[in-house]
Amino acid sequence: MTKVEESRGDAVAKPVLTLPSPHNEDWHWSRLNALEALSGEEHGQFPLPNQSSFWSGLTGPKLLFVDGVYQAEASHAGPVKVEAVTEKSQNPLGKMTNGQIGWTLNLEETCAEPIEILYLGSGGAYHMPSSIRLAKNVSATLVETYAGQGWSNRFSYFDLGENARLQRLARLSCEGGFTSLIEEGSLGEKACLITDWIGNKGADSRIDQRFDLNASGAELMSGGAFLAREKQRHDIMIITRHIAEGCQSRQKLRALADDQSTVSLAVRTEVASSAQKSDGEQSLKGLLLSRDATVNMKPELEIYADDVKCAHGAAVGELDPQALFYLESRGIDPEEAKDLLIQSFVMEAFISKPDSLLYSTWLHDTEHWAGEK
Amino acid sequence: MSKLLEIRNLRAEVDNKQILKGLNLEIGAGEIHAIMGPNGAGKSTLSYVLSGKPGYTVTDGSALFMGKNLFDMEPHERAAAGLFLGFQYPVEIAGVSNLHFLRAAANAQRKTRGEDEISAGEFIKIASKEAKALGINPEMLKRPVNVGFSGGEKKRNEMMQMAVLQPKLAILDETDSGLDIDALRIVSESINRVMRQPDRSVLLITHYQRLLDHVKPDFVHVLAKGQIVRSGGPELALELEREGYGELVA
Repeated sequence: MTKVEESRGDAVAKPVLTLPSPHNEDWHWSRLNALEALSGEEHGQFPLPNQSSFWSGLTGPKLLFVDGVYQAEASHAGPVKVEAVTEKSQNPLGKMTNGQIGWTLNLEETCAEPIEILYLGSGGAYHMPSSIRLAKNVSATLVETYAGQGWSNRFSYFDLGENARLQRLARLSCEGGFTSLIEEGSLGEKACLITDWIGNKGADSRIDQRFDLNASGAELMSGGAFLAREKQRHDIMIITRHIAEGCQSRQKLRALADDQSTVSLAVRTEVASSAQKSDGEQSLKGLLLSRDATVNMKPELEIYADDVKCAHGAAVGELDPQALFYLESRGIDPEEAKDLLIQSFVMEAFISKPDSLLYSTWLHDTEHWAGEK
Repeated sequence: MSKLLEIRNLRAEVDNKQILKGLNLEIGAGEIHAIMGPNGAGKSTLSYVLSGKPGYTVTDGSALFMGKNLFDMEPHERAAAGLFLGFQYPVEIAGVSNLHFLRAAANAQRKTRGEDEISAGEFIKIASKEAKALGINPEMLKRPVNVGFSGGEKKRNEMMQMAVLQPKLAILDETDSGLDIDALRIVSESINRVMRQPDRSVLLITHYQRLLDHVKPDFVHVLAKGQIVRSGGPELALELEREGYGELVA
């Protein structure tokens, strides 16, 4: 169980966290004990990064949050409202966002321009929920960027109506600290939620995505590339339950670990006996750039229906020496050749259509990681 | 005629096994040489040794490329100096478009040579022109390098790279394998168009006369047991086609 309490009687009230440990969590490797220190920190420990480099330059809605507080003067919220969120999470970290002020998006019509949300942190912790509802046949694109320092603890609830479609990109670009994303929700008939995550900076991260596909033909597509170096840890768990007929789920995740970093990918797809004609695919790949780095993988399928198509694959390796030589034989120096192969590896996980903003942002973040050596 | 490549007494090994055993070969500017030989003779090893593939160790001998010691250079420096290897089995690189890769290669070579980079717009024009000449669908330029390409498409893509990079010496390792009759003609035309120049040369590694019907060699060599055991003119290839390697490899 998780709880946040206020220590009574101290001059400065510090939160006391009770967090799950690896002993009572399956297949999680993130170091939640670090959160206690982050949670006790004041905001303002670190200078905020320059926000201008994180915006796309497009004219769509833009919201800026600093340490979890909405910055109205630097935002153009459009259809997004900053308010309390009614949905609650039962996830140990998600629970900490229950009852907090967050943001909601209720779209009755398609939003042509991408909605961008930037969360900057200066240290300390914030816990913020959000709720996204798309009505029948509505489409939207969402880009969320986490930058700066501290612990960003986010719960996102998605409710997509029949045939609705949400494409989203989540950029885990905090220099340090911890980013936790808890994602849950409900997809209507033939609704489609496409998520691409990219972790390209120094913060540890944990992603917990859990969906039940209760409406026929719903699609849940999740792609992610998690690039880690030094002693960083990325910890991703996706649990998808196919309940209705004809649903699709894809998880394409890439782990790239350098130095003594650890990237862990655990993906579980359950197909209930009622979920005939399910189509599931798990593709997990890891690339080790150092002999001291670790990639953990656990692709898991549990199938009770008899007319389904489900595939899973997991592979961990090093950079392909044949490919490196091929690039070098064309005049590309070894470092650039290595970067190109890293890009090649990462781009495989990009699921959204090569839409100009999402694709170019993803590419930029990958190149940024490679260029930071 | 000036020598583009001079190989003297080249000995090389792979996994501690001696493959090249004192190979000598000279290629002049403007010449096309063909190397034929039985399987396992060391033809591909020669191409890898010259292009600097890791795992191939030169134990003796020398190779001068335009007067410079080839073995003092890294693979990418050899490429920038003008050496091109057409792979027998081109490598697939998912996630990197052909165009991106080609431009990166062209600009990397320019950078190594101290030249200005080529702009994206100018490069697209060059690449599109070469693609058209090779009958390559321009859409293929957007696809990841060699991913999902047929055997023939991969070989045409190699020729495309050669045409864009404009090397001084192209070592083409069984470029004709996997090609249908029409593709063989197109690829051959590309070799002739790009490389039949007074200052450029080709080292063709092949098993079959049919490529040499389209790309007329000036010299034909037989490589067997790690050495050039016989050299001659184009008639040697015809003789080999007719009579096999026979006593040459005994």
